[in-house]
Amino acid sequence: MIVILIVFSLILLFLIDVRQLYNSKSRIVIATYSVLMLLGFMVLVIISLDLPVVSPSILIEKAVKFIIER
Amino acid sequence: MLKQTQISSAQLSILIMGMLLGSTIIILPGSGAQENAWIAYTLAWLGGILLFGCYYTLYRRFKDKTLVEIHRILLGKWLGNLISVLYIWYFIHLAALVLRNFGDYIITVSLSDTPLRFIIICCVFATGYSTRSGIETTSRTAELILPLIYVFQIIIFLILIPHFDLSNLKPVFYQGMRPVLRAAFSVLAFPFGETVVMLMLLPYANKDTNIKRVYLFSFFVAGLILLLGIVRDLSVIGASEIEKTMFPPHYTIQHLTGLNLDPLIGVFFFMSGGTKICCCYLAASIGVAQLTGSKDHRPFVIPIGVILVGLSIWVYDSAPEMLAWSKDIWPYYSIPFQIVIPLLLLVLSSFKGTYSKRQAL
Amino acid sequence: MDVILRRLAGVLQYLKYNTPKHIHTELSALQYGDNIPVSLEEAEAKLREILHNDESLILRPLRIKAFNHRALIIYINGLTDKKSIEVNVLRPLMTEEPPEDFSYCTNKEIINSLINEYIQSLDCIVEASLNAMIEKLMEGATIILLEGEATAIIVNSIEWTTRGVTEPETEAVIRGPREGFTEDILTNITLLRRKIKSPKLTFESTSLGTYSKTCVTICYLDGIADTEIIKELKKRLAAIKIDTILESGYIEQFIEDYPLSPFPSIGNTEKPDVVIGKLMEGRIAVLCDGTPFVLLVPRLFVENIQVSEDYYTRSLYATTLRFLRVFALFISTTLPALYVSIQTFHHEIVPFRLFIALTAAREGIPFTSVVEALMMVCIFELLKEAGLRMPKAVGQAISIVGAIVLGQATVEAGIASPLMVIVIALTAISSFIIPALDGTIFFLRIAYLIAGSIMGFYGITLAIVVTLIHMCNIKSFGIHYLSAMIPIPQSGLKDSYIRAPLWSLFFDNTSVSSSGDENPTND
Repeated sequence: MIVILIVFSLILLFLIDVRQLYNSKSRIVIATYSVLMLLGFMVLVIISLDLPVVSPSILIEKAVKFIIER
Repeated sequence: MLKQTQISSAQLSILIMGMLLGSTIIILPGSGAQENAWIAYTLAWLGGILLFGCYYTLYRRFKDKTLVEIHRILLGKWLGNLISVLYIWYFIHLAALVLRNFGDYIITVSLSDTPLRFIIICCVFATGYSTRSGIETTSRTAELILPLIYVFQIIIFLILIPHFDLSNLKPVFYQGMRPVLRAAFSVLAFPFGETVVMLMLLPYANKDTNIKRVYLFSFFVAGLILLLGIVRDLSVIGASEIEKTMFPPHYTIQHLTGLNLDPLIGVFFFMSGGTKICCCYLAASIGVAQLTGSKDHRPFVIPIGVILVGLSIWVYDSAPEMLAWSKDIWPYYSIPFQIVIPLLLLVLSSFKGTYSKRQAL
Repeated sequence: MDVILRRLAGVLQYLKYNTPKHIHTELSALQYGDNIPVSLEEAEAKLREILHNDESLILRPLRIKAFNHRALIIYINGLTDKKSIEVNVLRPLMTEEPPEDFSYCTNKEIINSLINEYIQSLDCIVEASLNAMIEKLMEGATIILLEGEATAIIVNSIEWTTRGVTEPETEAVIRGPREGFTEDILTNITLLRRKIKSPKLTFESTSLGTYSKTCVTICYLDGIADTEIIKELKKRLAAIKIDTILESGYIEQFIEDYPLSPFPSIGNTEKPDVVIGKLMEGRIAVLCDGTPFVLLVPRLFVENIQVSEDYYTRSLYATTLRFLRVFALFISTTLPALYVSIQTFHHEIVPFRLFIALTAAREGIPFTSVVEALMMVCIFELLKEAGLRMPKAVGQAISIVGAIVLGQATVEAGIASPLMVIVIALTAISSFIIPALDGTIFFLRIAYLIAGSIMGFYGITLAIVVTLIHMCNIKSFGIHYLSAMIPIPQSGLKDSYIRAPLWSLFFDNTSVSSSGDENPTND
């Protein structure tokens, strides 16, 4: 399935950076990296499986329209 | 990437020109004002120079500090980091928009059967490689390929002169000033205000570059090219057609008899759009690197790339939605990022400056 | 987990130059001992044992008439100049009368006196270590051992047959010197010295290769070459641990910056005037014994479009030829890709009549454009390689096979379209204009072809941009690969895109400098 494909490709991309992260010895860098990867993974899953999650542009549009029309 | 990597003034000016040209080659800015689009554009051009003045003063006050560091200095650690995170989200969003522009353009015009994801993945791969190699490589590559765009635009402009119908530019101010002002405001946000991204990259310029001159030069040249583009589009196809088509410059160039240059426009769009994406991508990576205290922005290139791929597909459902969004919503959404927060920072910096002077006394 | 990471790191290390961590231990079989045997019989037995009773090891005993002392002359047949040894060593030793005030001398005094008065050869030293003696013996020197003395006199009388100085086949010019390097390093150094008669031309030798002990010489102009690059080069050469060096290509692959990049970062040439021209610009040459190809470090991308003949012809013609070469580079990499993408995706870009010709040419071809193009590219590479390896006598067959069978017959059988044959022929001819980038152009051509077949013009653009980014990334010994082209040099484009008249080129001395890539370079 496509989720497995996404996971596989993300692992391949992770392998490119693994050496640098291993040598950096800074936990906050590794944490940020993982958080960003997880975010990316979530977004990719959302678009692959067509989950009905509201996209940020619609949220921004609602907020802006609310402020403008007030 | 340490601050020792330096780019020369020519490379900096090419980066700024790339940022300004960006996706405006394809999406006509200021089309809300219809036949007065060029007036709206000129007004926004002047407004952009004012905005630049604000950014430049901010940069001058904090030499060699990127935007993230300025936030940290002025607003303290927690609030500064929060605002920096918001800015990084803004840069990523901007890059995703340009990517989506590019993908949609290719799918609409040439390769209609290719899935959008594939084009965006290829584009992110190329720009990610460039970003990962650092700002020096990016600016060198840009220096190699951007001048071709100018040559192309000027040649197209000259070739299309026989098709001009200058009466399309009149009547002036038929519907009054309000549509013009609204269109000017939207042009100010896209593309001129987006040079706030350069605030992240200016510290990497050579020590002895005259940033004011470089900036004004790029503004002038890029603005001139875009103005020529608007005048050309308005004169050839007229205001009503512009409202109907999705990509007006593409439709204009089809008026060339005998030759059909569709793919070439896409190629040049990729060059300018790619530079813009690279700048925003670089700014976001450097921002994350500085937030986490790391000296190297390289580890963060790939995760941000993954987010970009996903975000650019998630963010819109279709191309017309994207165009409408960029005209109507984008200006209001970028007000805080482009205008409010930099002005706030400027005020705060002058205030803090006098405050610390008073303390020293 | 650790093992996986280490394996990965092992793969990734090929991307960039790393000082090798595994250093071979010196083979203990190459140590023969430190002391030369004192008695002649012992020395003879030991040498025969070391050289495995080789027939070409000649040991000639003699009696030095002047001191009435037994001696032994050792040499290897084939490596020495026998005439000069007979005339300059044997004759004085065997015929000279003892001196008038002859009294019993110590062995040391005998050796001193032999060197100073009797041996009439130019190159004569004393050696006390057995290892060094065997090394010199294998190089071709003649050794004189005295009975009861543990030092040897070494007379350098090397002569062997080498190829004469001829025109190099790989770099033919219309105007310019036709001398080329040979396999003997002394001849090569002489060819270089003849062109620059100044003591600033510095040569520094080392010997690489534990078995081959090849003499490798670095050559540069003191004061013009950058000391940083010299230091880095010496460091990398010292880190080479290999058993034989057969060709300078071995050295090149050990010291290059990016082994996996398609662009070579070390240049090579066979002509002395090219080497001297580049030395004057601040580069460093590496000469290797046994090969006529001399390495030049560092190498920039501009050099691919410069040919030494450019500087011997007049400025206008040379500039035109340079543009032609850039154009040829562009064609030979992108023409098949452009053709395939126009056929597949972008029909609208060609004028109508040309489009009809294109479609008519492809009538009835069973393959898609991509497969056709790849097939023809492969056929052409096969032809090229076969033409190289084929003995000259049957060379005629190649042209017939290539032209008629694979060209004409393929078209007539309907497997390839004639337009494709034209495109591939043009590509091939353009690639011969820049022989230095042969391998590179092949890879780029295939890559662009595949990219163009996937995404049309956008694919080609993406592939070209990725190549450009890679080129902007590469450094050759600390200097950016695209140094002279981007950023556009502030002193003018006098030597990169165009070739300005010579009197304006030689204003600047140094052109290759690692201190600051933003500094304009004049090459």
